[in-house]
Amino acid sequence: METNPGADLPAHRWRSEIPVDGSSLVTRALNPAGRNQGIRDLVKAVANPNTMLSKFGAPLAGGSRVILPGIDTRMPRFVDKSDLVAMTTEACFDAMGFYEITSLGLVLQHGVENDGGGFDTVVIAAQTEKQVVQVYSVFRLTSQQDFERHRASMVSGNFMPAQDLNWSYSIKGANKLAYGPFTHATDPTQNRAEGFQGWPGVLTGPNYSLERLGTNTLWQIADEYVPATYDGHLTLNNLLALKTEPPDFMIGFSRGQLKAFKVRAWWEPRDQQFDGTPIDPNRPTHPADCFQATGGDPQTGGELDRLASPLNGVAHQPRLNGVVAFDERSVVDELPPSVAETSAPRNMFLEGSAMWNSGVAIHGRRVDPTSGQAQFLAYDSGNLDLLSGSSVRFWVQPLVDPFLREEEVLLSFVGDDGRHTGIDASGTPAYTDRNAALNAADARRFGFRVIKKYDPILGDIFIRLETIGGWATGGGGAPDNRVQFVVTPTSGAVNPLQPEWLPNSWHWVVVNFGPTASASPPTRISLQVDMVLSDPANSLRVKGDGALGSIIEYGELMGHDWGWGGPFDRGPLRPGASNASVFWTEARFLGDWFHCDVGLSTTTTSDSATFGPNAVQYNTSTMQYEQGPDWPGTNPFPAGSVNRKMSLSFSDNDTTDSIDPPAPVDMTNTAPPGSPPAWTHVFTSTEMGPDGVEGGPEWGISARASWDVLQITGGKCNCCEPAADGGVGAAHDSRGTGKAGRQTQINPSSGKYTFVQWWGPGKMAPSLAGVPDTGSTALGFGLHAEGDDCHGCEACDVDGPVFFGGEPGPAVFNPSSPPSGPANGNYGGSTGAAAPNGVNASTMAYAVFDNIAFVNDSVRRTDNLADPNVHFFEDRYFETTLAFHANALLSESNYGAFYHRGLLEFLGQTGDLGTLTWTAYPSMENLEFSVALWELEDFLGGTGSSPPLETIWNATNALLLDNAIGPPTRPAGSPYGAATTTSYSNAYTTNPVSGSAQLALPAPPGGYGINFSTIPRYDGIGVPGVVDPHLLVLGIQLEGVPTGGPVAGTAAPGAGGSSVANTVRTGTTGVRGAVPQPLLSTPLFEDVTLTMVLLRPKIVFAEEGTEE
Amino acid sequence: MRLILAAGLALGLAAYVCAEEGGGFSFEPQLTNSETGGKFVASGKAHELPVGAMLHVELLVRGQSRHPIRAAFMKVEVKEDHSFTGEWMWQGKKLAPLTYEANVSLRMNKQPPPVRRELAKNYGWHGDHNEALTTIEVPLGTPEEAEAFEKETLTRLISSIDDLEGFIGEGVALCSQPADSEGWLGKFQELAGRIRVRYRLMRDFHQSVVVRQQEGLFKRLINIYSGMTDALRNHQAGLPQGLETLEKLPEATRILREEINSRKPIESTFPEDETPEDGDDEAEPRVGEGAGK
Repeated sequence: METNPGADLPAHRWRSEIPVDGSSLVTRALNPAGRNQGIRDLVKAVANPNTMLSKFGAPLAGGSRVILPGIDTRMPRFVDKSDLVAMTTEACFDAMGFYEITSLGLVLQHGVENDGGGFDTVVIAAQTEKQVVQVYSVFRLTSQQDFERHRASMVSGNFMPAQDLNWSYSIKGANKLAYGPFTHATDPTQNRAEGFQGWPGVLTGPNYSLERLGTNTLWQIADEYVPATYDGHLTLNNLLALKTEPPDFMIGFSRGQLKAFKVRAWWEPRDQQFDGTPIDPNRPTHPADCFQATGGDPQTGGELDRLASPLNGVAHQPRLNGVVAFDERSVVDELPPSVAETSAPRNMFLEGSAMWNSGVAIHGRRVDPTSGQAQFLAYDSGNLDLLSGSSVRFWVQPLVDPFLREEEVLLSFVGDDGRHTGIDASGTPAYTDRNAALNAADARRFGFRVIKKYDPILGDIFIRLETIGGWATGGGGAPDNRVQFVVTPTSGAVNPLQPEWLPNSWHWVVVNFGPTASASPPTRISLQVDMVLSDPANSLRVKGDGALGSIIEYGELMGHDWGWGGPFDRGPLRPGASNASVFWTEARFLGDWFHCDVGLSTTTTSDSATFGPNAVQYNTSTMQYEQGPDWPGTNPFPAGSVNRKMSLSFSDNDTTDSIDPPAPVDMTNTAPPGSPPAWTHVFTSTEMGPDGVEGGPEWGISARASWDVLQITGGKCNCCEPAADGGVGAAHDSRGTGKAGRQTQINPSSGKYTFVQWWGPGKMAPSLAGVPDTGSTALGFGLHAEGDDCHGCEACDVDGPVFFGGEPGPAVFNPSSPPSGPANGNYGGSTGAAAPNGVNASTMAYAVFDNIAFVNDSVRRTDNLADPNVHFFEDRYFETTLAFHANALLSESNYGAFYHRGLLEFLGQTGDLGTLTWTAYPSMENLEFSVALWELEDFLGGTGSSPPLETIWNATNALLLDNAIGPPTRPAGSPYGAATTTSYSNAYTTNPVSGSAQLALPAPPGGYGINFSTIPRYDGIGVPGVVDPHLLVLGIQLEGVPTGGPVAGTAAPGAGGSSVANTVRTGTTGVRGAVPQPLLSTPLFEDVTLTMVLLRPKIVFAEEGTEE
Repeated sequence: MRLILAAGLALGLAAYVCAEEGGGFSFEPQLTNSETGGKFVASGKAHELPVGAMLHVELLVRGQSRHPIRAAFMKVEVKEDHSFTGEWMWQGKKLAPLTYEANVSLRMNKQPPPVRRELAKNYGWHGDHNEALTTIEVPLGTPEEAEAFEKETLTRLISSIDDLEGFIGEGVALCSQPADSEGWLGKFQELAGRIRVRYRLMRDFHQSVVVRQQEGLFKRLINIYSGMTDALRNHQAGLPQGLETLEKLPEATRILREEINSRKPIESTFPEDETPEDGDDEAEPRVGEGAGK
C-alpha cells in the first residue's frame, strides 16, 4: 500500500518541512530567532483557563495574534492545552469572590519608660482573627455544555425550524430526512417522537451541535451528540444558503449526515417536450423513485438514496461521531464502560468524530480502525449535468501549514464512459440504467481535479485545476491542462479577493465546466477561489469543441435512418435505404454521454462484384460509350452498404500488339441528391482502345462495383434495449407516446418522411437541416457508429466518483484485498463502493469540507457574466438574517446571530449583581459579539398566582424577553446590542437589566464589561404566592454590523404560519456601515462571567489567631 | 437632474450626483494611498431607497481580459439619514495609478425581508433582481504616473520573459541528462535557486499593488514558471514528461512575448470595445435603470 508521506506526522502538526523556505508564515512565526510563536502559545496554553483547542478547525479569530514585518494577522495556536504533558495551575487575576481578612487586635500601653529614659507605647496583649469570606459569587459559562444548558432557544431569532418538518418541498430530488423518532437503548423515558427540527442561530463548539430536537426539549442538541465539557465557544452559523433548483445536488453537513439532502433530478428526452421542458414537471425520470413520483418514502434502496449517499462504503466514510458508548457521542472517541482507558487508548483528534459544526474533516490519518484505510467523501457523478454544464462548489478549510505537503487533492472527478466503469462486483449494476461492465484498469480516463500545490522551487502555493485525459487545451500557452491561482499567505489577510491559504481559513472553490450555452460549443472550464475567477481567455477548453477550429476529436457522425424497417432500426446511415436521412456531427463535451453503442462494435466488410468484359461498349450509332450487355441489370449494391463505388477496368482484346490497357478508373455519380444514381465517366484517349480514338479497336471494359458493409454487433444499454413487452425498447415507447421523438410519417404528397432533428438529449429541434437524400449517392458516410435513440439515460456518459479530499489510487491499488478482481479503479467494491481499495492516502488533503453543491445548468455558472444575478459569491458566515436565504415561508422571521440563555442557576438566590465580563475575539473582518442581560419578572407566569401558572420559561414563549424589567431606553455608549433609542416591537424592545443607570466600562485596557452598581437588587427567590422570583436572561449577538432592519414598528407578524415573532434585526444599528462580501470568518465568544455580591459575606473559614 | 464628475490627481475621487430637490442618489468613491497601504472609501446618499437597504459596492479594474478584476467588494447599509458609507483597506499594498471603476448595485436577494418587500412594492423588482445603481470611473494618479507604471509593468514582463526563456533553455539542457547522473542534482539545485530569485522579483512586484495592469499576462507568466518547475521536478523524479514539457514551453513564452509586445505602446485600460456603452462619453458615469429616481 502506498504510504502517505504525511501519515507519520502528528495530525495538525505545525511544522513546515521546508527549512529553507521562508515563504511559510508558519515557519516565520515559529522561528525561534524571531517571533517564536510556539513558545508564546505554549505559555498561553499553560496559563489560559480556556482550553481553546485549535485542532478542530477553530476560527482564526481564536488564534494567536502574530505580528511579523508587514504582517499583523492571526494563526491557529500552534500549541494548545491538549499538547501539554505537564499541567500547572492556570493563571487567574481575579479573587473570584474569596478574600482572606485578617484582623489584628492590640492592647497598647503608653508611657512605658524605656532604657533610654524615654517613653514607649508597648503591646501588652494581641490577638489575630482570620476569616476567609466569600464576598461575591462567580458564575461562569465557559464550556460547550455551559452554553447549551438552559439555552433560551424559544426567544425569537434563536432557532429556525427546518422546513423538513412540514415536508412541503416542491424541489425535485429533495431527500426526506430520516430523523426521528428516537428510541433510547435502555431508557424509554428518553424516547422522543420528533426528529430533526432545525438549526440554532449561533453555534456552540467544539462538538457538533447543529442538529436539534423538538420543542419539548427546548431544541436541545440531539441525543447523538454531547456538548463538550472540556472546551466551549460560540460562533456564527455557516449553513448553506443557496437557492436550489431541480438539477442541483447539495450537501450540508450541518444536518448531521454525509448524505445529500438534494440530488439532481433530470428528465430524459423521452419525458421532455421538443423544447426540453419536462412533460410532467413533477415526475423526473431520475431519480426514478423520487418522492414526487412515488409518493412513498424513498429513503432506502432507491435511486434517490443512491444518488444522495456517499459512494464509498460506510467503513471508509468519515465518522459522524465518536460513538462507542451508546449515548456519548462527541468529537472525543468515547470508550464503552467496559473498556479500560489504558487498554484502548484513542487518539482524541483522529479517531473521534470527523463531523464538526463546520463540516467534515479529512485527514490521512483519519482511518477506518478495522481496515486501516483512510476515510474520504465520494459522491455519484450522476449528479453532474455534464451536457448542460455545471459548477461544483464547496467550502474548504485547510488545517495545516500549506507548505507542509506538496500536493493535496481537494476535488477529483475522473471517470470514463460505460465501457470501463461499473458499480457492483457481482455484475449487477447499481443503477438499473447502467449496464456497464465492471471496473477495468483504465477506468479513470477523463475528468479534472483541483489540488493545492506547493512549488518548492518557486516557494508559492497554488490552487490548481488540472484536466485529465487530454480533454482540454489551453487558450493561450502551455502548460495546457491547468489553470491556477497563487494563494501563498503573505499578508495574513482574510480577503476573498486575494485569497491566502492560511491554516484554518475558509475558502470557496468552484469549478465551472461544460458548454457556456447548454449543449452547444464551445465548452470551457474555469476555476474560482473565493471571489477570484480565472480568466476565460486562459480557461481550459475541451478539445474538439469546434471553437478552436480543430478536428472534432470526440465528435461523431450520428444518423437516424428513419422509415427503414422501423423508425429506430439500427441500420447504419446508408444510401439507398430510404428517401432521406438525418445526420449531423456532434461535439462531445466533457462527460457527454458517449454514443449509445456501449456494448456495440462496428465491423466493416469490403466487397465487390465485377461485370464484364462488355459492361461498357462504344455505340457507333450514338457515338457514345454506353452500357453493354454485361452492365448489371439491377442495383449491384447490397442494401445497407456504404462507400459505394463503380469503376471501369480495361482489358486488351487484341493480344498481338504491344500496347497495354490503361489502369482502372472510377466512375462518378452525377445524379443529384434524391435521384437514382447516374454513373458516368468521360473517356480519355488512352481509354478509347489501342488506337486512342473512339470507334476503332476498343478495350474490353468491365464494370466493378465495390462497397462496404458495416455490421453492428452487441447490445445497447438498458435504456434502449428491447422492453419486456417485446417492443423495441424505450425508444419505441418514446415514439409511441410521442414524447420526445415524434412518430415519423410519410408525407403523402412528397412521398418523403417528416423528420425531427434531434440534437442530443433534451434538445429536439423541430426543423431539419442539411439532409441529403442518400438514395442516389455512392459516397456514404464515414460512420464509425450508428445512429441511435439515446434518451440521455446517462448509462454511458462519463461516470466516476466525485472525490473530496483525495482521489482514488491507481487502478491496481492495493491488490492484496481486491473485492472486484485484479484491477480496481473507481468502482467495484463488494458493497458497490467507490474506489474499493479506498483513497490514495498520499493525495489526501488535511482539511475540512462543507456545503458541497453541484449547481447544474450553464447559465448558473459563476463565470456567467451575462447574467447579472449570477451567484458568483457565497457567504461562509451570516451576519444578517438567514431566514430569507433558507426558507421562503419563514422569511419574515429573524434568524441569525442570536444566542440567549436563561440563568436558571440564579433562581433561589438574591443579591446585588456585580460585574459582567466576557472573553471574545473579533473576526478577521473585525466583527464582534456583544452581550446583554435582562431581568425578567413573573418567572412563574403571573405575580401572585396561586397555584403558579405555567412558568414563562417554556418552549413556546417566543416573547420571553417582553417580560423584561426596565425603561425602554438604551444607555448611551453601551456595548449592549439590544435596542436602539427608539423602540420597536420585537423581543429587543425591552432593555437590559441595568436600564439607563447601567454603566459601561471603558474599552480595554479597562476591559469590556458591565457593572451594575446602581441596579436594584436581584431577587431570585420572591415571596411564595405574592412575588414571583425573577429570572436573568443572557443575550449574545453580533454587534456593529449592518442590520438591514426596518423602521421601528413596521414589522408584521410572521408569515407562513410561523409562530416565530417578527423580528428583523440581528444586530444593532451598524456602526461600521459595511462588511466585506462574502464573510469568510467568524468572531469567537469564549466565556462570560457574572458576579453577584452576596447580601452578607459568607464565612468559609475562620481562625482565631495567636494570643500573647 | 444634474451631473457632476470630478477627478482628483493626488487621490482618486469621483462623484455621481443624480438629485432632485432634496432627494436622489449620490455616490462618491475615493481612493487614497498611505504609508500603510491603499484605501477605498465609498460614501453616498440614497434617498429613494428604504432605510436598511443593503447596497453592494464594488471596485474593479477592467483590463484586456473579459472578466474585470475585483479589488473590493462590500456590502453597505443605507442608514436612517439615507447615507451609506464603507471602506476597504489593503494593508501593505498600494493602489497602482490606474483608472478604476466603482459601482453600486442593489441585489434583491441580499435584502432583509421588509426592505425587499418595500422595494418590490415600489419598483416591482423580483426576488433575484439586481439593480445597477451607478458606475463611476475613478482615475488615480497623474497621467505621467500612469504612463510610468504601465511602462514599468511591460518592462518587467519582458524582463521576466527573458529570464524565463533562459531558464527553460538551461532546463532543457539539464534534463537531457538523467537525473541520477553525476552532478545532476547540484546543477539542478543551482538552477532552482536562480529561478527562485528571479521569480520572486517578478512576483513581489506583482503583489506589491492591489491590482496591476496586465494582470492576465502576469498570471500566464506565473503559470509558465510553474509548468517549468513542475517539469524540472518531474525529470528529477524520473518521469519522462519532464523534458517533453520543457521542450514545449518555448512556444508558450513566444506567444506570451508576442502579446506583451503587442501591447506596446501604451494601451488603454478601458478600451473602447469593452466599455459598456460604446459611444458614450467616457467621462460620464453610467446610470443603471432606476437610479436616482
